[in-house]
Amino acid sequence: MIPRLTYALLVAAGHREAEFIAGDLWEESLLVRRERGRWGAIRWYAWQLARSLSRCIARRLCALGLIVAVPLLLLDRAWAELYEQLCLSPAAGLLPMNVLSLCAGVMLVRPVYRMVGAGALLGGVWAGFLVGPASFPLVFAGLLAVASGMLAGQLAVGRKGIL
Amino acid sequence: MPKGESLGEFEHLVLLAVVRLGNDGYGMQVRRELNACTGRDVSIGAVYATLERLEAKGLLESRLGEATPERGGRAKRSFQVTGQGIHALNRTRQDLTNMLRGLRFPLPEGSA
Repeated sequence: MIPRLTYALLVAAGHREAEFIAGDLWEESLLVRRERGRWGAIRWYAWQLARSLSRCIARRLCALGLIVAVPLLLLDRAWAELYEQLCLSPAAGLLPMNVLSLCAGVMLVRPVYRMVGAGALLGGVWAGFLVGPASFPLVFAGLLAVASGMLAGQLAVGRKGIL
Repeated sequence: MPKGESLGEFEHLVLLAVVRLGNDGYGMQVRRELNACTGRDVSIGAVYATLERLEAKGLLESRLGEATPERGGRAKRSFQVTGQGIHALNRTRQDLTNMLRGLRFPLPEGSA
């Protein structure tokens, strides 16, 4: 059951070696189970599978250009949510949010300004979101976290010129 | 050496691991060997991606094994180094030896 599910997940992620990886993981997990017990083997298996899947998914996203499009789309959605809320409020965070959007854009467009943009981004979040009006924390935080995580991952692997 | 034939660092390690395993290693064994010799904790997916790339370069060849219950009914693929792979390893070793000749290790701090 588990090897079959693993195989299906790996195939869905586009791994060409899904058959062998699923078999290797299962065989090895039986050995790990003897050493670390049932839960240790489950943890080990899940971690190995997650790493193999994430690598493959990231490669596919890169190949399709979605690694750029998805975070930008999410950021755009986040800003839209934010403006929608701010317009109905005393707009304490409106100016910081404008600066924030600009800095995020600069950070994406010009690699040399990434550090400046990242600093401004943090400042903007603090000013406009944490101390400003925020009646929508979960939606905004979720969108921002996913988008930032993807962008940070992309920067970490050294992709340049993302726009 | 043509660019396509050169070995990256990880490719070099994986190729050596296959040789160390007696030319009959499969993905998880290669991963274990890498971990034992270098302390690197690499994912099985990364190992297979590299094995596949080395095979495409003609440095490795693979053999399909039968599906067994210990493997959850999944087949095994074991790898052997080809003559071209041995040649690439020898050449890489020679290049390294040439580059290291005359240097004393550990290199002194600030020597760069």
